[in-house]
Amino acid sequence: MNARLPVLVLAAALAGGALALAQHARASANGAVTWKSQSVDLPYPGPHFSGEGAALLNPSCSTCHSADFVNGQPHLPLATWKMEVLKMKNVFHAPVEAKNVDALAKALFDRHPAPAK
Amino acid sequence: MGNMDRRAGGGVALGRRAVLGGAAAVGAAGMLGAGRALAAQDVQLPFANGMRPVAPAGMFPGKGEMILQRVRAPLLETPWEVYRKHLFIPNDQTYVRWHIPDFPTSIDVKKYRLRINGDVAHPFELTLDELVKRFPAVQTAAINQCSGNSRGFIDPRVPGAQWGNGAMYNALWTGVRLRDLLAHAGVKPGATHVAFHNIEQLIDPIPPHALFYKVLPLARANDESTLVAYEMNRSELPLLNGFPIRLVVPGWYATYWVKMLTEITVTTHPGTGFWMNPAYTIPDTPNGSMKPGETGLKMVPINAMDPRSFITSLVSGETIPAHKPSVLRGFAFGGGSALKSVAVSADNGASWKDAALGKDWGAYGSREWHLPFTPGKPGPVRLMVRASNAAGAVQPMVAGWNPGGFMYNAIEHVDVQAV
Ligand code: HEC
Repeated sequence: MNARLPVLVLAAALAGGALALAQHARASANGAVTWKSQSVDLPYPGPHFSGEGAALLNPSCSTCHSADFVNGQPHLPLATWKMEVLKMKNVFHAPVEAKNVDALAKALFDRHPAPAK
Repeated sequence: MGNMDRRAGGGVALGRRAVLGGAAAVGAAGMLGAGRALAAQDVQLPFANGMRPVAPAGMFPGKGEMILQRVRAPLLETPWEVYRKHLFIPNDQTYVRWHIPDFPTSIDVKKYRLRINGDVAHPFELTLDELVKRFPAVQTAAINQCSGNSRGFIDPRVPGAQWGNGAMYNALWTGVRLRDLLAHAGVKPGATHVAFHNIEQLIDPIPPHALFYKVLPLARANDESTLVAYEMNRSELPLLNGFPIRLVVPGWYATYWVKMLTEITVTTHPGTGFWMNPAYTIPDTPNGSMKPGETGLKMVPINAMDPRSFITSLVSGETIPAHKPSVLRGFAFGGGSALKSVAVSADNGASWKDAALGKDWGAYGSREWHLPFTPGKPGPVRLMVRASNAAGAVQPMVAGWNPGGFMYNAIEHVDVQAV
């Protein structure tokens, strides 16, 4: 990290340039920053699993992330899916019963077929 | 996928159904109404299983149209069109990445505190006003890039967020130097690391070891570029990007840029949390790359970024006039050290021509580049772009591989037609 110091002192305002400023820019010169509390809504819970394997996947794989994320994963080897299921179970304590690990891995594998060459 | 070569500037090939940016997009989102509307459009990221909905403006707070990788916890990708228009990415289109869905959706700025503690002589805490008023403000341009940006292009594919090239943004950051805060507290001799905690919480059943926090070596924390930032592009940070304050670690991957930062703890330990190890680790090899299936490699926490460069003036499938000069444009960054050069090849990498670099906003920001180019004859032309940095790193033709799908930085190209 010995590259030349990129930090500009605030006073040396960034004149011109391609900087597109947001309309609601705060006046940060002179240290005059106004703080306003924020409260937002998120479009939760997001999609659940549907189709083949959904009855198995929803109870095990929906607590922490919406199903769109899992559905967007690439084709992966069955062993990789099994590792993912075990990772979710062991690291994050996903509600996966030991007897369902293989079936979950198989369901995920089947839902992510190899792309047509 | 047959459309690999439709990569736009190495970026996102927009599906025919996708309308991104511009008045048309705003109109479509407006018709749907902000908020809970379902995405009416899809975008095809140029890899297998890469079809994604487009989140209309307003579906996520403070965010315009974004590629929807995941609703909960949000993973939102910046559409490629945005990079074609802006060197500094507008706050409402910067990518969003949360791990655990229960981060706070309300921030009370009166109650918010930043604590500096651990192996220090004088632990202290600051209100947001005190942070701004007691320490000198500095501004710096810096690229925030997800460790897994472009993971969808990695071959063989690996699990994780399947980003195109849209998990990065150049912004102007305003904040205070971390080292000023550490000096004020008085770091004790023997300290080696600094840990950063935020107000994220765990949801049941995630166990405590998976609580998100990150650790930097003390030298990196004390580097004069490292900031606690309270503004992004001179505006408050969007809540989804870490309002009210986040760590900014110029030159290093965004996993360290802890959002909603509340606690800075000086320690003598590199950290035991899941997110330092095994998550976000790379093989201790050049470019963090290894062979798929290779075992016994030492893994280390991901750190400095590699250089990257992109063409923005053209996307694959466009035509340019043969025999007539035109100007190629794009942007590039050096990563862990300043951008040194950007070169373009029109002959599959056999020869390279240096591009002219635009304004230097600082070692860790994006820079525009341009190069006059005249196609010699009509027909297909593949244009490649390659960046190198001050530390000597040069983009490779094929990206390195690692099991996390981190640090993708292969040479990008567009395929155009000279007519
Ligand atoms: C207890 C919470 C929890 C449950 C339940 C859970 N996951 Fe996860 N999952 C996570 C977390 C945390 C991550 C990593 C953070 C992120 O990617 O945002 C993750 C990441 C992933 C990833 C990306 C790759 C990786 O390893 O980071 C995949 C794929 C995945 N989960 C699949 C599943 C599947 C399949 C199930 C059901 C068997 C499941 N998850 C259940 C918490 C959970």
